[in-house]
Amino acid sequence: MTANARSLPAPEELDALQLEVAGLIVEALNLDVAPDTIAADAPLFGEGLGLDSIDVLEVALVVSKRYGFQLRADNEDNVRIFRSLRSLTEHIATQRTQ
Amino acid sequence: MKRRRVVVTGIGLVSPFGGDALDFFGRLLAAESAVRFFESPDVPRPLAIPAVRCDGFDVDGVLGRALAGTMDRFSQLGAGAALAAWRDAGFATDDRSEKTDCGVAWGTALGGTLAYERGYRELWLNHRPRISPLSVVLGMNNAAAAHIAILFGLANACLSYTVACASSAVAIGEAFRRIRAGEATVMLAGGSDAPHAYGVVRAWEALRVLAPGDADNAPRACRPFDSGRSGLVLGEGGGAIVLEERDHALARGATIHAELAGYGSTCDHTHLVRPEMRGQLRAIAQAMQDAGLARDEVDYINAHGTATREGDPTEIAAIREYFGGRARHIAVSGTKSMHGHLLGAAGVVEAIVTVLALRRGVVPPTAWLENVDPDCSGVRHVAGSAERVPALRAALSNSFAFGGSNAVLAFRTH
Amino acid sequence: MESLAIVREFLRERLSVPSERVHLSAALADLGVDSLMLLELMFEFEERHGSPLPRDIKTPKTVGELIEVVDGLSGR
Repeated sequence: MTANARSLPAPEELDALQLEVAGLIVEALNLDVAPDTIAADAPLFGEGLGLDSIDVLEVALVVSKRYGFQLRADNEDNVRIFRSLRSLTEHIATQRTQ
Repeated sequence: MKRRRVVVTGIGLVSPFGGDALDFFGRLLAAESAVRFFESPDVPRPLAIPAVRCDGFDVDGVLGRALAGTMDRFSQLGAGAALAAWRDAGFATDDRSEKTDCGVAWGTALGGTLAYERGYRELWLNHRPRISPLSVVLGMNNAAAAHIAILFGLANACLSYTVACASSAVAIGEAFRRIRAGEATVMLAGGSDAPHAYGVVRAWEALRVLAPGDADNAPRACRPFDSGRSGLVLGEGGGAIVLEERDHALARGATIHAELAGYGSTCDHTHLVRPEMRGQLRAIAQAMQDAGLARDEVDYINAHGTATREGDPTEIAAIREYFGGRARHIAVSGTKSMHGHLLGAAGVVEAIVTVLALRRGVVPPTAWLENVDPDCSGVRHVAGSAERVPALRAALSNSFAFGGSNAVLAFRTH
Repeated sequence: MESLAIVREFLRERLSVPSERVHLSAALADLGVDSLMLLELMFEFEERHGSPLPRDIKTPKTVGELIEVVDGLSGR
């Protein structure tokens, strides 16, 4: 947890953010699915959404820009952060500056 | 007669980061530099320069020791890249049957200079009366191409192009022309170089174009377009693409990475090292006209961008002259900032970056670009981090060589 | 080192050929020794003996024939 991390917001706020993040992923990667059909705990890599390492980088770029914090490619926590839509959303919720 | 179209169905390279082409691209997107401080064991003055190396390349594992032993490093790097590209194209890498409609076009600036240096050391320093019988086949400039042809039974033309920094861009362009002319269906095009031979590096140092650096700051030694840029970084590497006639690719259900739509090849005919804006301009124009591209269709240019004082502004001037008002909207990146100057492999590796950028809609940055030199302004420099460019339609890859030869490749999204 | 051992070491190091396959009647071509590699192998013997083999020798086809040539000419 970094020094300026926020705590997790209330569940409804988190759900709304999750849908927003799903929308960002769909738009960034031109996916052929509706954002609300991406299961919160389905894996983003491999089966599930089937993203590869370049896709993850692209998502990191749009997330960094939209929520105002750096998602660095060499962050060892990335495997954990990008495991699922839920884990990514929670990470954004605690790190966002805008 | 409808003109034949040519597409890219396979890509492969030997990466300084140790992974495959996609991993390489991902690290460029993350602005990761492969430049390190390289110290050689030469005496009395060891080499000590920022450089890009492929130390993780498992030569024996990829090629087998028997084959690797008949190759100088530049051929090993080339064969490694060619295997990856051929496999990526969906062709069997153990099929040596004769393929008369498939050929090789390979670029190398230096050829087997490491083999020559070993030979000279034995003869002149160690006073051996004779050298290994393999010396000729190790050192000859066409060795990489020949090995690649043997590996896959490539029986069409097998040619090697030596055009300094533009060698593999030229190889790709000439292979493109051969397919378009109906003289081949598939061409394995690429290039490789291993430039860290002692004499070679000393020669480059004498030209005063190598970026200085030490163990701490080596990764940021190459800074294209920055007002603090200080020269280029020599790298070893190998890259290959499979070019294929479009109908043939579609018929066999090949994955198509991008279309190679145009090629410009010109000469400055002015100076041996100083670049000339008008020669580069003509190459850009030729590639654009060959591809039938309008100025406002080009969304990205992978620059030659070696980070020399003279070269960078000349290239930007040529881009601005051709594209006029459109220039400031075109994303430009100098990826040598991260992978160094691969000489004979530069053209193909940068073409691979351009193809992947088109395919994925995201362009890598010019790393270490903090203050754009006023002489290099006027285009949309992608600095610091990668940029998504949705609906990327067409891109150029530039290679402007010592000696004045210019090669520009124009790719379209397929 | 006697000649068969030299051949075995060369083939193991350079061509990854296991030593069990390297016996006197084995055909050089079967062991991966083409015309280029034969030159390299003969060069290895020349380096160890410090003298070149004459140019007019008959091209050996088997390990045994090669050893005859190099042993005969080194006076062993």
